[in-house]
This record gives sequence, structure tokens and C-alpha cells, in this order.
Amino acid sequence: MIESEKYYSKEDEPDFKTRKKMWDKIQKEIYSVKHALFTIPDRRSFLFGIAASIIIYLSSVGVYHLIRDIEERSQPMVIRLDDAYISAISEFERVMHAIITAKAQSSQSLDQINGRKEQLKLLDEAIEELRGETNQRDISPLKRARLRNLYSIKLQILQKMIEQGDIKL
Amino acid sequence: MKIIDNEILIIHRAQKGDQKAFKMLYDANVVSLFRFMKQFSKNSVEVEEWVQRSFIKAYEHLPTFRGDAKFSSWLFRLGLNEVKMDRRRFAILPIDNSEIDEMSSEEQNLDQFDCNDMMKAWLGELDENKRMVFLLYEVEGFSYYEIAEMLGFGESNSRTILTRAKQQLKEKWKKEIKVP
Repeated sequence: MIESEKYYSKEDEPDFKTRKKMWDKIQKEIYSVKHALFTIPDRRSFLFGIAASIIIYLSSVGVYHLIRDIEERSQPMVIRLDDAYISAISEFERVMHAIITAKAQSSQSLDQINGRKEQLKLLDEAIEELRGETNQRDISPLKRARLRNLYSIKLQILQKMIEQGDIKL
Repeated sequence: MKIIDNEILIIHRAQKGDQKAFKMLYDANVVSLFRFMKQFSKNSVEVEEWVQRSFIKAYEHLPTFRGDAKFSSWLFRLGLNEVKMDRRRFAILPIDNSEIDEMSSEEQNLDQFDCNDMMKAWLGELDENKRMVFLLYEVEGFSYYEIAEMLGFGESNSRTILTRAKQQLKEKWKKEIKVP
């Protein structure tokens, strides 16, 4: 091992002026690095983050739609038709319920409406019972036909209420 | 190089952007880095450029410095990278490992090698690879492991290069003083 102080001469070392000159240049450079809004690694990781978020979002949407599509396609045609039918009826019921309630508040023939409502209530109970049985993907044609029949009766009652002026659309 | 008592704390402060702390690191290491690099160029402007670039790189990459090596060793590595980048033709030749065993027997004898006034001139005649390893080990006091980290080759290769450098210097010394 050689002592560094013996090996290096004074000429090898930077004098005060040189050290100051070098520091001034370094300081100038690092000052601009410090005050840059985004340094290169920051900017890169920011862009990678944005790109990754977009990719994850698009992938999630794609996967969700794919699973939903596969699920729908895997169902038998009878169930798909039935689901569409139930969905449409439910929507119709929701709208009609609001109208009946509004009408009832200003009705002149409350008894008649109450009778219809009683009928609808009974029908709803029968429908619920039958739907409960078919919830386990029971595709028995008999049960499906019965369910559709109940919906049909319900629609007929609602139609009559509209025709007789119990409900004004 | 100067030894800073609480180097870790100062590095930590510098990592948080404290320029005064970074100036302390600069003051503690600039002389040793400069005089080491001066051994690879007679042109002071070029040496200044290497030193400046080394410190700028150190500042930029300071957040990634984990403190598992000495700051000086890390700084020297950055400095050597700057030298290498400037020397497009400079390439560290792969060392044939078969030579290592052969050399290790001679290594012990050569450890007794002493420095004299002529050595600096002879060292200048060695290729840069050997000069780097010799100076880093014998003068700057870095370990073989640290040198391997700095120069990017194995510890055993560092030993081999140093042995070769010493051997060459010893041959020159024998020739000079006409040892039979």
C-alpha cells in the first residue's frame, strides 16, 4: 500500500480556483435539474403510469363484456326469451305503478280501482310464487307457459283500466 | 479523501435536495477524484470535465444510492464511466481465468513491491486498465470487491490485473537498477 499523499504531487491536485470553477458549473447544472418540473425518470414513470392505467381500464371493460356475453350465450334460448319478457314486464309494472298511485290520489271511483288493485295483487303473488320456483333455471315448458299466462292476464287488467279511463296516460 | 464523520446523514440530506449537504460531499471528495483522474490525462480541462460530470451524475442518481457502498467508491465508479465513455477505443479486455492460478503464486512475492520516484513515470507507461487497478488498490485503498464493482469485472480479475501491473513495474525496476 502506497500512501496517497506521497504518491500524488501538488500538481495533481486542483487548486482553490479550479475547485470553485468546477463547483460553480456543477451547481448551475444541478440547479436546473432540481427546478425542472419533471425530471427524465419522473416523466417516464408518469407516462408509464398513465399508459398502464389506460391498459388496465380497457382490459377490465373488455373482460367484463366478454364474461357477460359468454354468460348470456351459454343460456338456453327459452331462458333468454323469458328473461327479456320478465324484464319488459317489470319495467312496465314500475311505470304503471307510479301512474296508478298518482291516479288514486284524485280518483272518483276508488272502489273500482281498489278492486283492480286487489286483482293485480293476487296476480303478483301468483307470479312471485311461480318465479320463485323457476329461479333455479327451471326450463319446464309448462311453468313457463303458466308464468306468461299470468303476465298476460295482468296486462289485460291494466289494459282494461286504461280503456275504462281509470288510468290516463 | 477526507473522511466525513456523519456521511450517511449528509447523504440523506443531499438525497432530499439539500445542496449544502451535497457541497460537503463535493468538498470531501473532489481532490481525491481529481488527482486520480489526472493520472489518465495530461489535459486539465478534460479532467475537470470528467470530475464535473461525475458529480452531476452523482447528484442526479443520488436518490438511487442505497448506501451499501462507500460514497467515494460509488463516485469513483461514476467517474470511471465518464472516462470510459470518452475513450471510445478504451475497452477492458476479458481476462483469461486460466491465468489467474498461475499468477496467484507470484502475487505474494510481488506484494512486497515498494514505490519509488520512478514508479509514477513507469505507471504512466502501463495500459489504462492496469493503471486504474493499481491506483485504486495501492494508492486509493479500495478493496478488490470495490474495484470490481467500479470497473465491472470480477474480483479475481482485479487481482490478476494488479499482479500483472506490479510484475511489469518490477521488471522495469530491475532493468533500471540492473539487477541480474
